[in-house]
Amino acid sequence: MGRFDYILFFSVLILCAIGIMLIYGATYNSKYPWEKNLYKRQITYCIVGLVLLFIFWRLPMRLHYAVAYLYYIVILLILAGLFLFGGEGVKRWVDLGFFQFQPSEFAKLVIIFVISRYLMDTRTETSSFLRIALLGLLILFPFLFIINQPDLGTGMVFIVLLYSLLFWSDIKFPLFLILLSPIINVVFTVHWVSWALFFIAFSLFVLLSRVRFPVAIGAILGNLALGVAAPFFWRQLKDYQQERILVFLDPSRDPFGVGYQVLQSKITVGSGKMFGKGFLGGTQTNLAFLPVRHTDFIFAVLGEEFGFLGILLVLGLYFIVIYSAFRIARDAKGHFPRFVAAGLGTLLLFQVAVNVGMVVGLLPVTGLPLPFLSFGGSSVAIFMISTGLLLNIHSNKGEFV
Amino acid sequence: MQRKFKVFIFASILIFFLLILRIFSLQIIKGDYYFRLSDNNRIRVLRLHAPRGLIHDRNGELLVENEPSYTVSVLPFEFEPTQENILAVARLVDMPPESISAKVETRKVNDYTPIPIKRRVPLRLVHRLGEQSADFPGVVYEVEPMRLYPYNELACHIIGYTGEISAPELREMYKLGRRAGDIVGKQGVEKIYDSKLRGRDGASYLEVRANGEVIGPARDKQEIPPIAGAELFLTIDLWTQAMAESVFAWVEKGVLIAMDPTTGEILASVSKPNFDLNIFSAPVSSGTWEKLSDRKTHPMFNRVTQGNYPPASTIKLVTGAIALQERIINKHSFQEQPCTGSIWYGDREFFCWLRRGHGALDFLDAMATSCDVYFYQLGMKIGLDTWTDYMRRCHFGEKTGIELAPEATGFIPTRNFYNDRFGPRGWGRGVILNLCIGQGEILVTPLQMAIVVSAFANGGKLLKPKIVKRLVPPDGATVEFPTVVRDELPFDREVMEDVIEGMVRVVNSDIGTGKAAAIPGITVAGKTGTAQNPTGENHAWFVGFAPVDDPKIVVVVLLEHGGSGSLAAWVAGEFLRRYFLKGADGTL
Repeated sequence: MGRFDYILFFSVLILCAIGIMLIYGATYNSKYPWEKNLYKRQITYCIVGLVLLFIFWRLPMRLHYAVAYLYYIVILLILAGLFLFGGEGVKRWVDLGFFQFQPSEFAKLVIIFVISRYLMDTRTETSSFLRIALLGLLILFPFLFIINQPDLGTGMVFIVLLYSLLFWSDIKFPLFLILLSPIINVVFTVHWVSWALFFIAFSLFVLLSRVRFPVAIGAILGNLALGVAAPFFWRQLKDYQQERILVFLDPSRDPFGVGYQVLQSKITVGSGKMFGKGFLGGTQTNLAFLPVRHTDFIFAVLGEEFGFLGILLVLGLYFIVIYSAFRIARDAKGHFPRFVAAGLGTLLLFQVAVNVGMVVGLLPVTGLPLPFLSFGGSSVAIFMISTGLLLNIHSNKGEFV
Repeated sequence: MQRKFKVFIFASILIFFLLILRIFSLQIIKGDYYFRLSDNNRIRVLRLHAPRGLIHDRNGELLVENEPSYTVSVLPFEFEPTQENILAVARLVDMPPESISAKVETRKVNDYTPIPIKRRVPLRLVHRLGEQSADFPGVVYEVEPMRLYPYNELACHIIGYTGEISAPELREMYKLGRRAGDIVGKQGVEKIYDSKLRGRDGASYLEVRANGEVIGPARDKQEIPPIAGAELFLTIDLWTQAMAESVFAWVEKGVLIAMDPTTGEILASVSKPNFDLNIFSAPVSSGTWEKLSDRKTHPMFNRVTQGNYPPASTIKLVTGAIALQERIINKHSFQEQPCTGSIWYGDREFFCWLRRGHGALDFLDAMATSCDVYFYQLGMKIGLDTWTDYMRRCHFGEKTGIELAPEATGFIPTRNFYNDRFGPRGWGRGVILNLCIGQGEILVTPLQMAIVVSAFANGGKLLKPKIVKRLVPPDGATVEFPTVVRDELPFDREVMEDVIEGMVRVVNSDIGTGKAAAIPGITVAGKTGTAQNPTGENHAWFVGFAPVDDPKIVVVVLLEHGGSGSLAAWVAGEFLRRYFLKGADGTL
């Protein structure tokens, strides 16, 4: 084996340790006895995670390349099973007795493997359109199952991974922008003026760029159709469905539900000021003002107990991990390892940004956990595996062809 | 690769920078404020209840309004459900402590949503709560607009009422966003249009000391103003409805429908017995409940849409039209056997309602006198299958599609029905004789009759009955409800004209059974019916419309146990007379 990235490894270890501390701080005086022992379970998860980290550090990349589609089929079967036999309501977990297995977390890694392998295998193909359409189809099935759970956050992760890895692949920038245009398009449909501006700018760009003419015309017509259809679809939705989307985008529409959580979360973070109230000194968290404080809102506990300085430290550690991931991607020699590293970097960046953004009231409440810090076995497992994979790619830069 | 790496690192730095900027603002710039909130003060969110949309009649007359009322609620965050606190609240609102603790437990939505304990509390109680707030930690009052029905029982089945959501309703409507303790529509348009009428609650944020003392509005939280619900304009005409109810004042059980045959708009709809909508504004006493859920009278039951009745002779309109359409007769045809008071079919004797017999009649006179023997012979010639097929094409046996649930379908028996029920050889061909005069297993709703009569009046269009004319949301994007033609009657224009000629004779000839419906100056067309009822006195029907040349109004009258159809005709005549006078003589 080659070199070992100690900085990445120890950053992750410190994050895990901080996570355990914060979970203890959030739950040690909970009125529910079962909550008081959550930190012990998190310790177990981290130890199991460490074992996984070392296993994936040692497993050759070639193996993941070889069985990427097998991973895909297995996870798709599990998701389909959950869809068919999961019963009513939220169907996100598979009960293994000792552990609530959350397949959508593992699906994130599988998606990275599958996109990476697909983009590498089809690198030399000229028909870029068909190539990307097939890739989209590949992502669509797990995406639909996940959205149905419902787990909008993970669904968004899939889309972000897809675009990020397309960007890291050999795809040309104008084509990338065309692929991204439907999403920008829908965002701009909030008002017809903004949409018209977008459409004019986009059309000019596509026509002036060196995209083949039929592709350009197709992209313009497609966006036109989407822009016309989007408001129509919106009106087709039932009142309560529209409401759910609006509340998602603007939590203050639901002042007694999500809106209150966000308000409490902001108070919790803000009350920490520069130095925090000290470990176990949080009043807001201990008063159980904040629901799911040990999972999705763990960052608020950090803000309250360790203040702005504590947050800077943790965000600094995250930056080191994310920087390492992209650096490893840059330095990787093989395409597959590069895509995997870039995908993992994107995953980390996206989840940190979305989770912290949610806690400080900047972004919608999606329920995406904070890597390494949030309570949860599946989440800890995939991020420890991710670290193992990054360490592996780092130490075997030229090994995979 | 270096370029792509740079793009991602730049993006990461940007994202982290924005997050840190935000956190800096929360922790350093506004840190003291948030610290105070977390330390001993807190933010209390109060609901600003949205006023429910008003309901008007077709001309904008107010049928339903709101009155401000006070609701005593507890805030789960601040209210400790100790024995002592529960007792204090119980004494305050004068309710048993058990029901207080039950509400606190079962109605909790989350930690922040106020739990309504008692609605419409008197003002003095609110004053007391305001003055002695320290004695009642976590107990607040909310201002909540509540329904007021100025006309009490007028159009009660159409309007419906509101009330606190029940457990089964909550299960059904949870995904629509309803929560325990919410006020929801329970019946009529209040229920059907609940999601449009209810509007959207706002919120105000108060900073409160730990002891419950209010400091003032929270600093950086803007109040969210409530948005009123959409206003509804019904097709009901207040004057016509009130007049219909006064015509029906003496009726114990029955139905009166007035419909515009060109649009399907319901102008008046009375179902008796009825009830006062305002009785639901206070907790309903068990005695009142008993009366409301009486199994014999069912006041809550809307007989217009939910009542299944044998149509009796009113169905002769359709039976006659089928015979004319099938060219079995023309309007001057006689039948082989004149009416001698009965007719034999197989080994069974079928009686005419007039036992001494009508003698020989053509179709028009058979309609006028409602001669059963004439129509028995039509039924034999039409046959069961043809008859049920036409009935199906007139959309009997299915819902009319009115936007008032629940709706009954009525029932049209078919060959398969009799085979299933009695076995292929267990029933005689004679059933058609009963069916074609509207007796036997056939059932219709009064509204179905109104729709079919409207179709005869308007040249064959089977309309969807309309109860809501217009919906006006607060943002002003008015929704007009269009006239919907569901289907065409399966009859030629000449056939319908012949049937109408018969209907005119019902009301306007000396031999007619519906003479009592005649009014001076305007030609009324109609048909009476007397439904045999094994459990009591006969049901009396009258269906008709006026004026014949330019139909403006269709009227359906049903008197449960009302005796003969001519009584129903008299009620319809009284209604039509006053309708066309439009209060010119000073009466309703």
